[in-house]
Amino acid sequence: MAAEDKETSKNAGPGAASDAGKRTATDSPVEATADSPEEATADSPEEAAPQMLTVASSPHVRSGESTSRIMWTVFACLLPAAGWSVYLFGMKAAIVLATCTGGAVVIESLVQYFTRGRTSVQDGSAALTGLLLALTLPPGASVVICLVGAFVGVVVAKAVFGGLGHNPFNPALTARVFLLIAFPGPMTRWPIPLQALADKPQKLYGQSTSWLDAAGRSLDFANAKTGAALHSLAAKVDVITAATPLAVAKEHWKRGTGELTTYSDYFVGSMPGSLGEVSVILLLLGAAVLLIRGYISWHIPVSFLLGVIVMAGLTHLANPTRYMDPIFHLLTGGVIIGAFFMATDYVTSPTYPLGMVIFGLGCGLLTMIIRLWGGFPEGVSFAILIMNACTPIIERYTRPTRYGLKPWAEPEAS
Amino acid sequence: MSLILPILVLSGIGAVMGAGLAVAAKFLSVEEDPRVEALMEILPSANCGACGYPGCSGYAKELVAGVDIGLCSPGGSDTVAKIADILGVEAVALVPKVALVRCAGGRNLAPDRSIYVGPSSCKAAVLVGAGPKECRWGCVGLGDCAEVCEDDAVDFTEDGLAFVRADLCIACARCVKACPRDLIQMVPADRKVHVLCSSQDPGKNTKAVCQVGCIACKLCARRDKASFVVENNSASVLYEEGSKDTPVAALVCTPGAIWDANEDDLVSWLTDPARREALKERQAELKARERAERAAKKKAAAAAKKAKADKADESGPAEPAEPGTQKGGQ
Amino acid sequence: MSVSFKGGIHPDYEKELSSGAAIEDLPPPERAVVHLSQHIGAPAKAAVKKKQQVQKGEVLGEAAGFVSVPVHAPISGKVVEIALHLHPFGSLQEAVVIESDGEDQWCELPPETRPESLSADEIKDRIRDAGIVGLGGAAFPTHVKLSPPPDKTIDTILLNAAECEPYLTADDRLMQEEPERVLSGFLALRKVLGAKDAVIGIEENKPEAMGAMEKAVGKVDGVRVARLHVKYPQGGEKQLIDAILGREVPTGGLPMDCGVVVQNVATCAAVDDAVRFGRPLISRVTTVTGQGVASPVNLRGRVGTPVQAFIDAAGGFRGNPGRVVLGGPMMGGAIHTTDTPVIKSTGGVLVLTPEELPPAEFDACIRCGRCVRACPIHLCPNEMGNYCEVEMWDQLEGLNVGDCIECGCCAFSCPANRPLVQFFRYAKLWIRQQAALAKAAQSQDDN
Repeated sequence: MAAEDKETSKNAGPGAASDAGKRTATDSPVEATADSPEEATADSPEEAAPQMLTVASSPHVRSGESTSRIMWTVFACLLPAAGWSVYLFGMKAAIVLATCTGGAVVIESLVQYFTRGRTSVQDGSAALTGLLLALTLPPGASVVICLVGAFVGVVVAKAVFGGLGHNPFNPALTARVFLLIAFPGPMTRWPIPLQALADKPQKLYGQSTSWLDAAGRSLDFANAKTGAALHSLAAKVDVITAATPLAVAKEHWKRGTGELTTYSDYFVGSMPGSLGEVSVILLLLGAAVLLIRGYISWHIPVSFLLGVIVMAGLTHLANPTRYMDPIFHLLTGGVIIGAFFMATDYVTSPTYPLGMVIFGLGCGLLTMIIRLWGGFPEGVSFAILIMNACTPIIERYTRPTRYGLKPWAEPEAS
Repeated sequence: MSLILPILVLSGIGAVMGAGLAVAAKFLSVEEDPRVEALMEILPSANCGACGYPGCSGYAKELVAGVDIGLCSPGGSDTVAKIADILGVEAVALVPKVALVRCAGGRNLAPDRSIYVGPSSCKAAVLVGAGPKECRWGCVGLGDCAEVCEDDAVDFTEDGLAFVRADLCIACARCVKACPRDLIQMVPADRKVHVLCSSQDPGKNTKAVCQVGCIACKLCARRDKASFVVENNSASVLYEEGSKDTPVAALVCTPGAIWDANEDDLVSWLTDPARREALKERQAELKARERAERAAKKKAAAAAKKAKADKADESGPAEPAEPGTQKGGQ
Repeated sequence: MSVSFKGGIHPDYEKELSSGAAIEDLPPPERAVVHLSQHIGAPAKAAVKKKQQVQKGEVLGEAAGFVSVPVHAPISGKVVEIALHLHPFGSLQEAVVIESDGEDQWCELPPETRPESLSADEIKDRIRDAGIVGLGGAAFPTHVKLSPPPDKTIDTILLNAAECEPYLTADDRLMQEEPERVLSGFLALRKVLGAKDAVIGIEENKPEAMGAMEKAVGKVDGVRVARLHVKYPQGGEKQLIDAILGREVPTGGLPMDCGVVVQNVATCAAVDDAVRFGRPLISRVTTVTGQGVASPVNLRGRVGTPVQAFIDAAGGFRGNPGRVVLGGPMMGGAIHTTDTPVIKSTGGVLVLTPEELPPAEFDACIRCGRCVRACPIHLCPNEMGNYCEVEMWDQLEGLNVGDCIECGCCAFSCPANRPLVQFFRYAKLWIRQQAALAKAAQSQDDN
């Protein structure tokens, strides 16, 4: 008999609600009472039953900002760059983008369904993780790689730690680094943005770039004189891959070979690279929106870029033939997307201004150290992840000085 | 050959390290009272903190140092006997206890005055305008007690009132500390009659906000002065020596705030609306019977006086009705 | 050119709802529930008996100690009850209930005097006897603020006319309509303190009030009007001092610890009444506003009037009320029923519709740092909130929860809708309890 009672009462009581954690604000019984007076007044405007007011702690108004709005705004700010990558790389890019974003959302929904946590997939954090991940992948990444990445980002890097807000490392970057180590081959095969080049065949002849040379050697590419020919060539071959400018630069440094792409190529993205690092200008456009709307503060991006510029500048000044100049380093690889969209991830970066500056500088310096002397041509992902690990300790020592410590000297009695 | 050398080197390193550890364990070891380990074996390992020490190991260390051996309520008398055995001291009788939520006012009987919006925690809720419940002493029902209970002994009625299932309670007293309204009390497990109200407001105020709130009418204390006390407008059972279960108190309690475990199961007592109706009838019955008894006694006394046979009757409160007759009223 | 402080937020002010409505008198209530605890400090001690006839202004409760003020009858009539009644803070408190005789007759008051003719001590006595408390919301007894210890010199007195809480317009209207009264009270307070400088700080969104005050000040020596940037909580005592004088009130200290005393507009008006006419504080201007009332107004209502009377005077509810708040939306307290009587510190009755209310649910902190930027005390609300939520009290050490002024900037700006202020209030309570326990243990050890 006691067991029977227990079952019935357990269903209704807050004991059941507390199973789902302390997150929900009002429990079902309270909500039940909340409904009744409203119904009563709706039926009879003369209000037979007294209306029950709600009480809550002050403040009673909110800014209207919400987690999901922030996430979806960042998402939207990345879309121009994502769209450009589709233009450059065609369907392959679209598939990568769709698989990563969709995969992340589906995986997050499944996780929340099976862990019986609060469903918060609509807040856009999973979609954003997926999109950011897609933007760090090579355009030709296979569906399997994309899905594995989405799984690592959403489950291993985030859900395991307790979900949004509790993950110590940037989920998208964790996933990317996992993929880079697990699938080193596919992850470093960078297709040439053929479609874009095809529109400007003169480019092929105006400048001789190392990756184009490589491509030309491997195919009868240089002989295609017209855009149409290039287009048909692009349609014929699955993919033409080449080294990214950074990899070329690294080779250049090691062996003194290879020639480099021009700055304007970097800016518009006419170079091999991952989906998100190919168009600096569209990324900056998205970042500008975020900065203007106050969704990110200037501290991290500016100090990140500053770190890169200082390191690159010093090494370039010391040995201009061996080290590339700062502008090259700013425009190539993932520095821009990293500085504005990855390092500024709220959850994994410091919240206090001084901490943000330290974090940004750290990211910039580490990026350059890895780029110049490390084993990988690109270091943004590793740099940000390493700084993510430092975030708690940075945070601890950069707390703002509270009000009330400024000494006040009493004026002399006159 | 190239394979053997590393194996040998690594084995050598392992052997040296192992020897070092063995030496360290021998010479740097901390003397520990063997009784502590023995005590750890028999303590219930609930690490509940009921004894007031940090975990069972903390209590075991303090036991050796000579603290009260009767503090482990989850362990009960058996554990105390074993402790006494290990320490070679005299065992003390440990009164088994259970937690009791001293409020009977669910949302149906003690309604809320507003809808609380905020973290689902009693502690947080009572900070907002002293809580959504009209009664400022009553159970808020958001489950801070259930949150800390590791034995799922705290449950809720459909009207959001917390109660403790005595069969699951291990008497760790965590819920006692968790309740922001201090509603939960550890009571002897063998006691059957309890006052389930903690309101210290004057009867008038309590009555206005709760149908089962103690209105400090003192009827219970009048029946049994040794077991019931009414202080600060609030009746409570004394539970100490000299106090006993007084089933009639549950019957005479005007608002019906006294629960007799022999009569009703706690859940049905808290939730069954018929109970309150039945109580009124039984109270009226008791009143009538006692009036009749008093009248009869008076008559007898008068008759006796008239007859000048004996000295005056023994005055004082009427004797409690016998359990048998009570049952008849049900 | 305006001055401000670091941090803060820009909520929707919604002042235009009621800023055009001239102050009206709310008729005295039929039945007034006058709480004996209307201020910070010891509640007043009841000085009347049941069934006693009282005149308006008669003392109902006497001050119980230094940090306490008397409470006066807001209407004339008969004391029908001295019992526990619902307090605006939600609990039951002792209150004197008066049933009106309809006469609304003042008790005997001292003859009208010019404030200039009174000495500083006389003014202070009158202020205390009139039961004046800080009417900005905290209700700290004013005479206590006027009694700095002899080792502290007060060189500046500030008139807090920022009225930074959204919606509220009572101070704005008071300055527009009765600037001389406000100034006269302010000058009387300055005289008590012997402060050299007097600054009136007004937010830029009240140009009419600023004009009126500037005109009233005219050429009074040592008084100036400071323009304040429109930002919440500009009217917080500490923020006001920072903005106008660049000083910081030492942690755990009072404004007088940096040579400043801050007084509120409504307090100054009440002081003028007390000093000039000997009238006790029994009424004040209250803004009744919000989308949930039909026609927002500024009312001069008596202490002890039920909130419902204020709402009725504003044309009643519009639609279904979602929440009724006494005070402003940022720091005001929600009440459970509109039967609640108002007290001296009730400067606003705000009715929010159910649609306006913030969502009930909240999420995990995403560490966006908005609260950090908004906190006017430069605390770390994100970290504090996370530790409070899981009750990791030892981690709170060094985060200075105790310095939180509960202004609500952090919770306002939180995209995850976290109830940060509520968390901190709980943490403060816990800290107080621990201190009490430690003290008890200490005294036990001493014995």
